[in-house]
Amino acid sequence: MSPKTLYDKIWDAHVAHEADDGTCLLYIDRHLVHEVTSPQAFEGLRMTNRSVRAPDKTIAVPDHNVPTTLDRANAATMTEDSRIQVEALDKNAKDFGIHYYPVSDVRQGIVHIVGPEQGWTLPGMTVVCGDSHTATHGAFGALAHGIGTSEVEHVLATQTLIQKKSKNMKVEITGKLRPGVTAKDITLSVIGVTGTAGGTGYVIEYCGEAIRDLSMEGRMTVCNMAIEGGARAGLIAPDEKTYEYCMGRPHAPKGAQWEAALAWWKTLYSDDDAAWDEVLTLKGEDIAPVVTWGTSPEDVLPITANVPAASDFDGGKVGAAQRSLDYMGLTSGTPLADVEIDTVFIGSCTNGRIEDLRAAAEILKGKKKKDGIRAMVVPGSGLVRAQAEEEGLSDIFIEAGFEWRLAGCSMCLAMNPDQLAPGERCAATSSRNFEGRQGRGGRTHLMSPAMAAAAAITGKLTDVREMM
Amino acid sequence: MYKALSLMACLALAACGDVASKDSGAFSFDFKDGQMNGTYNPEGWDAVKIQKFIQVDCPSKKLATYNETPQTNGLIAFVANCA
Repeated sequence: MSPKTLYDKIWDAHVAHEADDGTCLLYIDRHLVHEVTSPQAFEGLRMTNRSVRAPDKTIAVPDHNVPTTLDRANAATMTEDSRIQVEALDKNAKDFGIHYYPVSDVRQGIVHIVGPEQGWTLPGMTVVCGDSHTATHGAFGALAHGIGTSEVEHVLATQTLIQKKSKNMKVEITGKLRPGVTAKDITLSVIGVTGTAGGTGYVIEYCGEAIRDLSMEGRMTVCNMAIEGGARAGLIAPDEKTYEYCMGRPHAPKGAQWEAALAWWKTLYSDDDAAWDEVLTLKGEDIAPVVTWGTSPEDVLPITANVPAASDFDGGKVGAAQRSLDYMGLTSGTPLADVEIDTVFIGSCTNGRIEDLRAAAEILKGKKKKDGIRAMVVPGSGLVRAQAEEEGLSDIFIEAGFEWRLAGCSMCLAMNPDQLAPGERCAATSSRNFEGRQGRGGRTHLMSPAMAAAAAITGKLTDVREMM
Repeated sequence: MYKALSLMACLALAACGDVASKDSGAFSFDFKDGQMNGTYNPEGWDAVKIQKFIQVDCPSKKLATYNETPQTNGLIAFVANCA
């Protein structure tokens, strides 16, 4: 048997049919659904009188549009479009008999946080969702990626997906991370090296000591942003941490089923002599706490650096950098640590898990945000929120002057009431900093939760290591 | 060997639907005008946990009233008011 990568193994285990041109029909183990990309897909089923092929493997939760304020049960808190989409998901979930966590359910939250939390995401699975950050689930050694609305309809109807196989890329992070450096710094630093197109055509497997040392939450942060590097998906081979995380989750297998699943999961690693189409190696000790300065996740620099000049770049990037600097209102040569901010957003499917909240609370404990700064913490799910309250983290945030919100995508994207005003500058733990991503004219600097917490205290982009 | 293991795992994972149908973690509520109306599954939650969870959203962080009514479907309905 020829040596295989982890991706090869999961792929091979799910091919239902392969055409002569290499196009495959893949079996899908889990289909996650949210309110924005699913209405047309369900309508397509209705129009052709079809049902959902595997309702027990289809899980829906509203997250993008839902307000995160306590009064969100009041429909008036949503725009008309948002309300229609959430109501459509309510109806579609009921009509088609799929698993559903409505807004009122304490388990509601961001689909990529709810899936793993409830044990829907397991090693070796194929997981799809009409959302690019589905890559998050790769942290479990699951082949997980976003799909378009027409593909959502195809998966709903058939539980399969037409795909061509991607190439294999290995991203190895060797050694140990230094204090103050987190999973977010790893994933942003990788994109800083590869660029946002560097992963195009590949599935990335992250490996190395620094990756193995990460918690499952940290691994989810790394894989979450694989898509920002252009990759089809990100993967991390499952290990004892993965099994421990999965064990006992509501929808994880139990008893003999657990043992059978575990036996397979333990085969899910890349063989020593597997072939890679591309390999990138970074030293963990070389990675610093980073922030983005521009309007692409690849515009990333250590917090100790200065704002670059457009002339620092080559080719087409010169114009893009100048446009980024103009949009971001930054002057080249300014120390990043001198850039003042207006807003702090801690949350999202990238950094809205309990470990992220712990990291931010550790920095904020006994301190206050700077006067005039708008700061909010938005847990990734109702259960993350409950856990944070149990641990006293919510008290730390509230005492520091943060708003303590209900679960949702919130300020990660301008599809709900949590938005930046034009010109407003935000220290954000989310994954995207495109123009207008957090609101028209809003300026986004991506960073880790600890860095965002530090920025809230000083009112500027801040090197969290100075507060440790 | 590999195919056999993956088949066993797929069968095991497919059976997880049975676990799901019990939905012992069910707990929903709406908060409107200082009052909370909801239901929970007593297999996964109890009145103490529920009250502890929902009172955080009261401005006073305390409940004035909390009443439960068992439902025919096995769930417990509750109504609570902030202090």
